[in-house]
Amino acid sequence: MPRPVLELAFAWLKANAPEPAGPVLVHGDFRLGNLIVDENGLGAVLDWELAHIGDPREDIAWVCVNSWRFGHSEKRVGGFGDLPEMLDAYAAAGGARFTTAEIDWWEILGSLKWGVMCMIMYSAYKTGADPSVERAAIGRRVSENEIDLINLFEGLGRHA
Amino acid sequence: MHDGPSARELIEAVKNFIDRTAAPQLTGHSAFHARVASNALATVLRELDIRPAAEAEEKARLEKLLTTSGESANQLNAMLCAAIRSGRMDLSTDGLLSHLKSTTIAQLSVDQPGYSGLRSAAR
Repeated sequence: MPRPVLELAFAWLKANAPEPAGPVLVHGDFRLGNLIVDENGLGAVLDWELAHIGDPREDIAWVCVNSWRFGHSEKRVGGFGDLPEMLDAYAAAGGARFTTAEIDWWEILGSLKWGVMCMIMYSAYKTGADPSVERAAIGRRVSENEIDLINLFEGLGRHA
Repeated sequence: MHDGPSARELIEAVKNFIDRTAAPQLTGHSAFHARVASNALATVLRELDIRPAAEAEEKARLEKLLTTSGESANQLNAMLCAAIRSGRMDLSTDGLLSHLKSTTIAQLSVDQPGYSGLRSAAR
């Protein structure tokens, strides 16, 4: 099943790979669904099974992936925050200083990654490993990541 | 061959059965799967409407982009993937991104017409 948008994302990421930053402890699934926040602020960060040593921009960009903005696309950080503000807070808390344009490559990687993960879940249906309607249907969500990738490609000039 | 009921009518009938009769009697995980099943049938109904014309348009764009003719959009897409993978085509290729955008908008209009990224793409 050829997927030219995903192919373009793989090729573009390879051709435009940034110099590595860090290394730091990366959560690996850093998004709103894994944060517990109460009136006193951050209560807990859940689900550390994907944690690894790596580039800090991986986590910063993952919470920006449009799949995790839950319909509020205009707020780049998880559908609730603005990226310049988060980058300022990250630097103020002792992290490295990044620009919004530097996050683009990692957000494209994140959107591609979630598209591939949806295809893997669908392949569980295709191979018969999981015959549920849910596994079949998730294959029709990959086009969400494809439009996100196209929107990101179109925005590259504007963010820079 | 006849088409009374048509494929569309049969799918609509099954979807109505799930929505009105089966789903209200289900709880928990089964209720969730009934909703997914109903949504899957809605996808098939949209596909019946949209795919034939959209795929013909996609194939015509692919033939222009690749300056070749092909048996199917699928075969041409495999050629396009090979061109992208080898570096012969990239973001700077005239017409590539706009073709992919048109194709993905058509695909999403079938798959997830309410997705936020579709609204962003239309702006």
